[in-house]
Amino acid sequence: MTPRMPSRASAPPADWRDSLPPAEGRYSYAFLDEGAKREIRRRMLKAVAIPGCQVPFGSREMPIARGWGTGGLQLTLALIGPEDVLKVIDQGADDSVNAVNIKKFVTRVTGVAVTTDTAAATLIQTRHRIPEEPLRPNQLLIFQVPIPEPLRLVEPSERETRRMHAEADYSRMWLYLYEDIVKFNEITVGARYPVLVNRRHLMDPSPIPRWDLPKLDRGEALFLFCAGREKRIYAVPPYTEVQPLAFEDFAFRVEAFAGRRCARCGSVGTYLDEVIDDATGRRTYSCSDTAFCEKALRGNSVKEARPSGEDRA
Amino acid sequence: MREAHSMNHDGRRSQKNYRNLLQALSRPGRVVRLDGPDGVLPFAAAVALAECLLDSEVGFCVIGNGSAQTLQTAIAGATGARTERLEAADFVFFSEAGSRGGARLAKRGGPESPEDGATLVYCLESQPAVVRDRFRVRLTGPGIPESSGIVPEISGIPLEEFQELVTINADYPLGVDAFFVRPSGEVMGLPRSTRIQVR
Repeated sequence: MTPRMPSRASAPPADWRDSLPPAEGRYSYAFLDEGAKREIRRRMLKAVAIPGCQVPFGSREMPIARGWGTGGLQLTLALIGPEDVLKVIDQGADDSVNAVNIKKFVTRVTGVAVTTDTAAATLIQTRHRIPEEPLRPNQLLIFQVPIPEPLRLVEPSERETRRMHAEADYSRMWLYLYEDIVKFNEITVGARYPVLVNRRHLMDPSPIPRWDLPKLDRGEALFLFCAGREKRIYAVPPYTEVQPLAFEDFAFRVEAFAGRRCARCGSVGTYLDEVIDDATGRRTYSCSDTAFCEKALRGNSVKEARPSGEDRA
Repeated sequence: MREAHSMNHDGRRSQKNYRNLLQALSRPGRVVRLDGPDGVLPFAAAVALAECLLDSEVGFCVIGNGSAQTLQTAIAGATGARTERLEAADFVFFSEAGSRGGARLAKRGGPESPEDGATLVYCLESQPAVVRDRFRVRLTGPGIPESSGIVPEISGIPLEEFQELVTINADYPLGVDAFFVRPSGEVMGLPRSTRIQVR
């Protein structure tokens, strides 16, 4: 007896997206309903009022998987209006899959203009970088955050970390950094380097490189952070003191790019990605911030990137 | 696929007003302007604030003189939020410039949840009798670029109310956050992180 083969599922038509009913009417403006926006907006205000403090919120299901920027996306959608100009970057790049898909989605549900120019954007959603070009006071930088709890490195219990924040008991984090120095003569935390905000709350700055941390300190823009999976919002208002944890005799250091420059635009003083040629094994470097690199390449009057640390000479 | 670009008038006003409130709280002491709904003068700015932050998920309380009932009715009608005792309210509206001790009773959050502290909204007069008092106040802290501090841009807030906020927010991060609104739509934010000095 010949086994019956399962019938093949019919292939979707090439233009299957066109067969969907129009988005208009099916979704609210900016996808989230007004109740969801109001809740996120209330929590954002509390986060701004207590810089660096993690504020819980009811993270919604989004049409992308958790861990792919749902937190940042929810803040963007709760904030955005028709007059905004949106920029989305992923590790500094405007054209990565994550950034392009988020941009496409937000455009579809809002119709706002998008840009790659940092200076032209009013809202910037970012994964793991702060743009090289200095931000203006009226700009909002929204970070996608995978793990909002800086103490998770030293304490697995959420109840315990909340107690530690309540009592400003950060001794175990200090001890962790000290032991690192004893073992390796270096603090091995690269991205997600813990910072103290407004001299009170220990904060995870999301996995941005150490290079970007000085840009958070007394920056002119409002920095908003959101972890969709972990359901936490926190913020750093403009002109707020943000200090990386460091010891008197062991100073905080940013990544060193001594003697290196971008092979594409020739910039020095920017955060560089290492590129290894598979065939020759030759190492070159290029700007991590692709929009900054493009602008520099076009010879626009982009000023030298803001000094970020001492180790870049 | 067509896109969902339309935003109704109320949604648009709430979005715009919210961005201004965010601006106000992240730059304490500076004045921004809200666009209020028609027909609720002199509380248009307070109702505009309520419209973009309140709904059935939160409780509010209105304290003040005879006009408090008018304000309470306007907010309840515009938002569907439930009225609550002062000690349990998420939002406390004062229908005048002073809280008459009411601010002291508002909730300040707990050590592990300081964000549960109430938001206070003071409704100021259009033409305050005393305008020079504000020069005796200096604000410093997050959101303020000058390390020497700034003078609040809005006048008509009694000095005693600033003193009251200093006392209430002494146990930072526990405390309350405040907005001061004028009938014309002007609003100033004062988060609990702002350090207030009264001379």
